Amino acid sequence: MTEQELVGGLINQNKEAIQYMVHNYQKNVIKTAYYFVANMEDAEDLSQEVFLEILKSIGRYKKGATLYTWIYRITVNKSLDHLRKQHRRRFIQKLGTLIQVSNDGMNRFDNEPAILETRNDDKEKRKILDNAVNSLPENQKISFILNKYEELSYKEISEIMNLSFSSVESLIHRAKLNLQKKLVNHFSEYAKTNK
Amino acid sequence: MQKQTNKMDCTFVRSNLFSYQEQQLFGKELIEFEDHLHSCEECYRIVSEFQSVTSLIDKKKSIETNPFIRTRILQSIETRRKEAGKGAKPFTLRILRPISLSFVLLIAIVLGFSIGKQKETRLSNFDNHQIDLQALKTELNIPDFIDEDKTFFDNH
Repeated sequence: MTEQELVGGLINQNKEAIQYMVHNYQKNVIKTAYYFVANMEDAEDLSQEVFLEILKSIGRYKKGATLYTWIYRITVNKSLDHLRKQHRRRFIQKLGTLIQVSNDGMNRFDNEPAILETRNDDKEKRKILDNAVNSLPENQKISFILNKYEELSYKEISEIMNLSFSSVESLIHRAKLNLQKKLVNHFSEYAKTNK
Repeated sequence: MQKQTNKMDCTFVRSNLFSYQEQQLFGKELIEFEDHLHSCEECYRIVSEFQSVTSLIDKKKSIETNPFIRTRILQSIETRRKEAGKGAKPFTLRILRPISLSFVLLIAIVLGFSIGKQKETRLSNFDNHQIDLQALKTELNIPDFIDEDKTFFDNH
């Protein structure tokens, strides 16, 4: 099935075209979502939303971009929306906890496990990396993930992000500088506290 | 490992971690970078930690997706499509119903206003009538029998 046939089929909500699309793009969609949200269950749920969104807005797909670039764009947007919602939810939860703490008259944070002690575990390292990546400015984060995790070329990223080649180049460069700065700070802080 | 002074300073090493990892350092720069690592314990530790954390990027790339996810996705698409099909309202319901409801509401409002106005006119006509009657009674010296009768019956 050519891309044109696939798009036509999706516009007509053709069952075969839908199956073909899911079969060909599910892995990439799930992986990309996972690189952003760092949770497989959430990534799988997001992939369902992405495919539904594709079917809903396939009429707006412009032939100028390749279909997979367009699908990547939807996936990235959905993942970022998810992260924003999660951030808001966490903020509200934190607020609720703070209110509870002040009501109970005790400090909940005293009872939290010492995260740094188990730092050598893969899980902990992953947390350090995810936190550092997530703290990057949004465009730097998107370009870094698409480049380092998805291994997409600067040209492909520029198509997905609707930016020029040089902008993507500069974004990735700044993302790397920021990331190594954050990680170096983290390692130095850790060394100081454990001296 | 002993701490020594090296030509290359720690700042250069710590700001070129990605370049070193991606093998983007060449010649003199690479040699000095590695020399510095041998002489600076702190930088050596940081480079090791950095490599250990960023190696997870490659590990993350090799994740396997759930083999049943395809069925789940197709099922959810089918369910949503059915729901959308059920929920889709025909033209008459989507467009004509709100238009006709607004029209009925408008008519009711206009009717209410006109009824209210009619009543007001009738009341003011009645008041004028009463005034004319009273004037006539006074002119012809006719007593208010009805009121007197009413008073009479009320008293007895």
